[in-house]
Amino acid sequence: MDDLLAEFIAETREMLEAMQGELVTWEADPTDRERLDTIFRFVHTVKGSSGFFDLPRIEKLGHAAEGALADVRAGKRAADGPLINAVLATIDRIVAMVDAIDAGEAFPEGGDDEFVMALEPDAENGSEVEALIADQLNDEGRKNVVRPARSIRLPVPLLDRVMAGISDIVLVRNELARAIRHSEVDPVVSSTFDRLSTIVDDARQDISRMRMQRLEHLFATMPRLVRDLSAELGKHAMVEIEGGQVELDRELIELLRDPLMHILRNAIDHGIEKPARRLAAGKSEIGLIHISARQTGNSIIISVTDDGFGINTDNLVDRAIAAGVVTAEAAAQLPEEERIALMFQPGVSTADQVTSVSGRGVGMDVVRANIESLGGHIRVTSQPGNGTRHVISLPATLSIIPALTVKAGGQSFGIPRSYVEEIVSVKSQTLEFDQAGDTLLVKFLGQRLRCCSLARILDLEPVAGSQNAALLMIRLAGGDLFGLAVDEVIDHQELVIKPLPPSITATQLYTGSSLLDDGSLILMLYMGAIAIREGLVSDVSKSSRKSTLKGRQKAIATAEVSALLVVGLDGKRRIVRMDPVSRIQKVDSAAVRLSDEGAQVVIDGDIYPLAGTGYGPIGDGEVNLLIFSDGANHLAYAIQNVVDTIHIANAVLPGEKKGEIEGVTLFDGEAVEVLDCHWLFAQHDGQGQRTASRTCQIDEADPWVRTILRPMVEAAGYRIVDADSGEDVDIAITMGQQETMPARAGQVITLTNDPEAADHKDGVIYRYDRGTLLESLMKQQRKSA
Amino acid sequence: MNISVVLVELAGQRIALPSLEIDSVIEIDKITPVPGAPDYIAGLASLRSRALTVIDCVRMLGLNDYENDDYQSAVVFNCGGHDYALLVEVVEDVADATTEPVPVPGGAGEMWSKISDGLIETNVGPAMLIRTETLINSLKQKKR
Repeated sequence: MDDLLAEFIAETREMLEAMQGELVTWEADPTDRERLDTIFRFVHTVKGSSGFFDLPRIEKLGHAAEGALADVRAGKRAADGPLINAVLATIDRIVAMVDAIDAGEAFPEGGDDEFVMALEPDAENGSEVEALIADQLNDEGRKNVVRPARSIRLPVPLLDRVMAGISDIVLVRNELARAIRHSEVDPVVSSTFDRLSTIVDDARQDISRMRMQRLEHLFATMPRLVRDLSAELGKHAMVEIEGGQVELDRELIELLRDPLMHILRNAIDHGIEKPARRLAAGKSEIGLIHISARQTGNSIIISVTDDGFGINTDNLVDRAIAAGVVTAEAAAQLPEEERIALMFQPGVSTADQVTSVSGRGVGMDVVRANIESLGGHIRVTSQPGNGTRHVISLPATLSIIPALTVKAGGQSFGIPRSYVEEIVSVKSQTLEFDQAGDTLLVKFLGQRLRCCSLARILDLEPVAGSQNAALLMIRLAGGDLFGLAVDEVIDHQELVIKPLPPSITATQLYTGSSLLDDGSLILMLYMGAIAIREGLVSDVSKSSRKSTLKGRQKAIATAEVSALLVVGLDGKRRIVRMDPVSRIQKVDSAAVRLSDEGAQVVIDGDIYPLAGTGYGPIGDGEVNLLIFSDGANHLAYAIQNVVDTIHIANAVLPGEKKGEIEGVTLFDGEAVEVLDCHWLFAQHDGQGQRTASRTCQIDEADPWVRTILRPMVEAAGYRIVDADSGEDVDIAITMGQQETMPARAGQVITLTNDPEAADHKDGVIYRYDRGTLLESLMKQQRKSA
Repeated sequence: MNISVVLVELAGQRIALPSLEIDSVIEIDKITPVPGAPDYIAGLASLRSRALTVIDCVRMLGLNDYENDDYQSAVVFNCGGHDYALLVEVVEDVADATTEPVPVPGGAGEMWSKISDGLIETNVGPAMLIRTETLINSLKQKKR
């Protein structure tokens, strides 16, 4: 709304500026019909808009002026001096009010009626109006000189030069820092240098913010676009915008404009149905398009959601088949997600007819290419009948990309971090390589993946037998996964990317270059294009092959379960199914607490129940833990070490007694015990860390509640909610004397100081009746579980 | 035509580059190779925080047999928003062109005529004039 209001203010000023001349001309020649029309249009528009924005005073003035001018236009009134004066004075007053709105000030109350009266046909002589105008000039006319937020406009090249300058300063600073480190320098020099260094860092940060612009600038044009398009297509659509204050690199904003427009066009053209159809489907007549932006970490997520018809995937698939991008057999096997992804194929359009708006077959493929070239990706999901959602994710700045620096063939390269799913050391021997024809395959999490050597892709001599060789698991935007072998992973850092000239980008290998802190240059790899060149992705003929491959792998997967082979504290090997393992973690043994009721371990400030301690003592130093997760609860399991990731191919023979061992299976010709995670969770349920789904509201102002009651409630597995938060809670505990009962609680327990007053049926419990109180809490827990 | 030109030696010949188009003349110490790029792209070099694309004109002219390891100087210029460094053997001097560029009588050879704007006379003798824009455009044409 604020955006629209700002637009209204800007528009009003603009119209007025354009009209200044007209006003003067009209005053000189009141019979000039064209001028009169222009002025009439102005007051008419202002009246309309102010009605929309609920600005009754402006609306009233506008209405009066409009009425007077309409009479003049209809020839009912002559445009005499007093009338002209009154109109001009009214316009001035409207502008003064608009200025006040912009400045966020209150406009002095009252005084409007005089203006309205002056515009009446039977207004007396002009002197009154003259006085009004004079008053206005003295009182408010001059006072309302608008003072918007102070800002200046700068030419972009100057900004770029300043940025280049600061980058140079940083480089020199780094060089100087190295020099100072390596020589004996007067402490005064080095401390002064440190100060300088801090200042340079601050300046760099501020300057990099200069590149940022609010997304509002882009979003501001959307409502108009949606209005025009829907009018053209005979549909009703409204746009709702959220997150316009998110900042994005100004170049990115410009580059994002076209893809977003395209998506909006699609949403209105294909997504939103005609009003009659919407009504028939039980939706409101007006389609809603919701655009939102938010920043998460280093990336910006922009989503465009419409509540239209959704994507007709059958139709889409038919068209894709017709366009020859996929065969009918291959299409039949595609999962829904990939069927939707067909829209990104060149030449595929879902438009039933080619309109001036869309359906020309150039479309989403270009959108995807644009977004990927910005280092982002786009995903589309659709619910048939309920709408479509486009989610674009982009790096926050175009020029700074979190990247891995790697070595291949003796040279360093950068890979955008977003592509790298996992780094596996080749030395770790957990990898299984197979040669298939000319292709090297690697087995990763139960899938056989193509493995490429970066050095070979770039035609470089790989460094033989590098000790630090690693395999990067690269996840491409389309979801395809492959292994990229490098000689060494050097570091993870944020790289400032500079563009490359066309003669180098033509290689389709690099997206840019970056200067490292030591002044050396590295090239940033263009993973998307490399993958295509290496035949690793999806044109769909390939992705369908991938799907059949996936099908085969699924068949394998049902027979084989991936698992971890670990050594327990007793030194015996055990197998743990991979799925519940969320991570492997080392903690200091001091974080482990053993007691009669069970063991716990503190990890990153949370308490986890700890299992596996029964097998042997926990030594000093560090303990290896497997962290299991069932989605809601976490559990740690102590082990000596992890041996390998394996696949259980053989059946698990159930164990004889119920316990943490599910059974035994044959592995390496040996019977190895398999852990029963279900039993572990069942055993440790209700203890320790859980995502506290149950909430309890207590009055923390009471010291007894805060210090004595609260720990007990928390121990029972509740999250304490502040009384003022207005959140719904499962249970609320109040002290007897409290009058206000929290209305939004599932159950209310009242504690009393008087044992006699306790009445369990009414939920009144004596405050030291621990058993009953706990029982009530548990009962509620079971209810809500 | 009375423009100032920088005279350099390249592939054993005297070349004139318009002074106004030249940013600076530098000594290049380290070139980062760009695997996969055409051979006339010697690589990237850094000049303060700028990344320069280093052009090896000898390779561009297809004079693969021409031996010269003497590449230390480079002429830096900006074209189309990108910074380039043209490797040269010797930077001679700044001179004034006394004539308009004219086609070389009898032709200068295919590649030379692509990268060069013609022959000019200077106060120290004739030189092939290379405008940076002509040079960069010829790179585009040579794109494989």
